[in-house]
Amino acid sequence: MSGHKQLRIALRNCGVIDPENILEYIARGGYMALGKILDEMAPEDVIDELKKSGLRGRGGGGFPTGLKLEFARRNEGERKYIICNADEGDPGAFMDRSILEGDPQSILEAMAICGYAVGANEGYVYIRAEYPLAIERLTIAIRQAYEAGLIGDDIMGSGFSFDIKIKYGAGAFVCGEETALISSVEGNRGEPHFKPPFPAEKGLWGMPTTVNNVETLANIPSIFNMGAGRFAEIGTKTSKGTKVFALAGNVNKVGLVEVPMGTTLREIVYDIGDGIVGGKKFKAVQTGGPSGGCIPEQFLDIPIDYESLKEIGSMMGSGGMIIMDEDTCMVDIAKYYLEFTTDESCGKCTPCRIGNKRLYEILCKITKGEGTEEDLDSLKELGGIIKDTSLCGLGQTAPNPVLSTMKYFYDEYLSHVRDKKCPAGICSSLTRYEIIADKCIGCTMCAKACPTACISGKVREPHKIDQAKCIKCGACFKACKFDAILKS
Amino acid sequence: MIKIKSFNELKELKESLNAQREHIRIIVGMATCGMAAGAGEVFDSIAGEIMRQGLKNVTVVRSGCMGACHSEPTVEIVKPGEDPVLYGNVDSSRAKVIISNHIMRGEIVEELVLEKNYETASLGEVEQ
Ligand SMILES: Cc1cc2nc3c(=O)[nH]c(=O)nc-3n(C[C@H](O)[C@H](O)[C@H](O)COP(=O)(O)O)c2cc1C
Ligand code: SF4
Ligand code: SF4
Ligand code: SF4
Repeated sequence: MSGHKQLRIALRNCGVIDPENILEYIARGGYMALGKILDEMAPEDVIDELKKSGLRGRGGGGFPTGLKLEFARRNEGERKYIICNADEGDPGAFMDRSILEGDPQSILEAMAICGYAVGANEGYVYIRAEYPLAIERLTIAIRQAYEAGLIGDDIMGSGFSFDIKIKYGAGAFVCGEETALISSVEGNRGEPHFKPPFPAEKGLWGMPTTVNNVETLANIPSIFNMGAGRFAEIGTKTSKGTKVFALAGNVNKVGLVEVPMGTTLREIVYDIGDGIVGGKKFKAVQTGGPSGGCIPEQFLDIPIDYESLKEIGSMMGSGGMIIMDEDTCMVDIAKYYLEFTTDESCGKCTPCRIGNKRLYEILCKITKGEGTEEDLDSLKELGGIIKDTSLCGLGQTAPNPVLSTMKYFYDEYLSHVRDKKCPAGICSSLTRYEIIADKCIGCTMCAKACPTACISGKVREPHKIDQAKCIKCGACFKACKFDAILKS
Repeated sequence: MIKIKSFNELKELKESLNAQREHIRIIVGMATCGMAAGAGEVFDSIAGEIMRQGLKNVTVVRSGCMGACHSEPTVEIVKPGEDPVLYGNVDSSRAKVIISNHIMRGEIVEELVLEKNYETASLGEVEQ
């Protein structure tokens, strides 16, 4: 490999080809993997090759893709289905959208390969309706692939047929969970159900079904083109290939990055992301979205893969990666994610519906300066119970943002409950603005900026804030050109 | 579009497509991120300028995300036999400069060049 930190496999065609022209995909080797497979490989060989590649699901769980296909192949069914999960509900994530917008044919080719491997002749792409451009390009791609005879009946004269249809997502985060997704495709409420039975046994319409994430699929044609052996040389012992991340937050170069598994967070933040905006100090990186956790500086040098991230209390997730600088309040971040998951909980089971709501309420109390040390113990205890007793992945992982920030930033929680202070100055109820009389020259700028008119003082004399009326909006702090206002 | 009826036909089509590739490609990043930053206008002005200048050997391509969300809109120039050059923060007037300098005179517009910090896995041709 050259000196580049990034290696593009899943994104190989994004930004290179015209996604609305199948010929550009074909010119870059598109459908060669499918052609070769249909021409000379048995379905079992396809599964073996995927197992050999070490490819694991990129949608969050990290389950070995070859094994999943093998289960669906072995289970009997009148019909079988392949579903592409393009629900992508994590706030801040746009990896799957980018692949669908930049290289939709790769997903269709991969679905047909999976169909051949398990013995399925029908596939659905379950995509969120909020992705109009991706839907448009996918629709064009499907039409062109049918016209070219690369999906549909008797593909390339092989006798194998595979149809692909689009289904629009209902817009709820939980619909990305595979059992909820299947019930949504069937036209029912998108609610998860208990596993087993797994989709590989009883999935869509009760038939053996494989649900694969967009990025997982995007890797599949490449694996057959480059060879499973070569693919397996990339990455770490347990995690092969690359991972796409949507790099966001307080980093200079936000964007879509694809790195070999085993790359360190430091390489992503500093070499690829070009460091923290404004030269500020790094504080944490959030991975795994609402199911993941915040990783502190001490772990910047561990090679990231599915296992290492789990060990440090976060997870790979689907690839959202938010960089946070020193001005971030970790309690506030935990509260943000909990608010998201409580909004998105489907309400089917009690620990998730009520438990996460309680967690959220306690966090609100703490950020308002009304929390106690007992509240911190309750957070931990309740979080543990929710994780152990919720029905689906949403509830099981929802406490992670709280538990991981408590693990690494406990001092910050303590400051909130003991000293009633927010060290980052984010929780407004705990922030105090004061004018330092020695520095104030009485320019009146702050008084003019204050929306509640609670700053008094004569021109050229030190001003004063009436704390009882102050709403902590920070307008005075921004207005003062003389550093005379102290924020604490 | 003709129907491809065998693996051999697919291979032949691929060969013939690659044989025709002596055109200069101007690739505009037009995923949701690029569109939000004004890539649509940039595309239109590039296409218009190519017509006005009567440049025949140039293809303007609408493409997906090149990953550089921090510098959208992005435009990449791929000339046969040369390393591709990626430009960032392109607007309509900068696009015209890129066409007159880089496409027509072969001079790279250094101040707009973005460092391309990734490598694409070679597609490892299927044995034929
Ligand atoms: C609450 C919740 C939301 C999920 N959302 C998604 C999603 O948006 N996209 C996705 O691919 N997988 C999502 N998953 C994971 C899927 O259930 C499933 O594991 C995945 O689609 C399998 O594909 P993979 O093996 O290729 O990763 C979600 C899981 C949970 C519990
Ligand atoms: S854990 Fe939450 S989202 Fe999942 S089934 Fe229970 S209530 Fe619904
Ligand atoms: S923080 Fe806002 S409300 Fe309080 S004194 Fe300053 S300007 Fe007025
Ligand atoms: S803006 Fe600053 S210097 Fe001017 S009156 Fe207010 S505190 Fe004093």
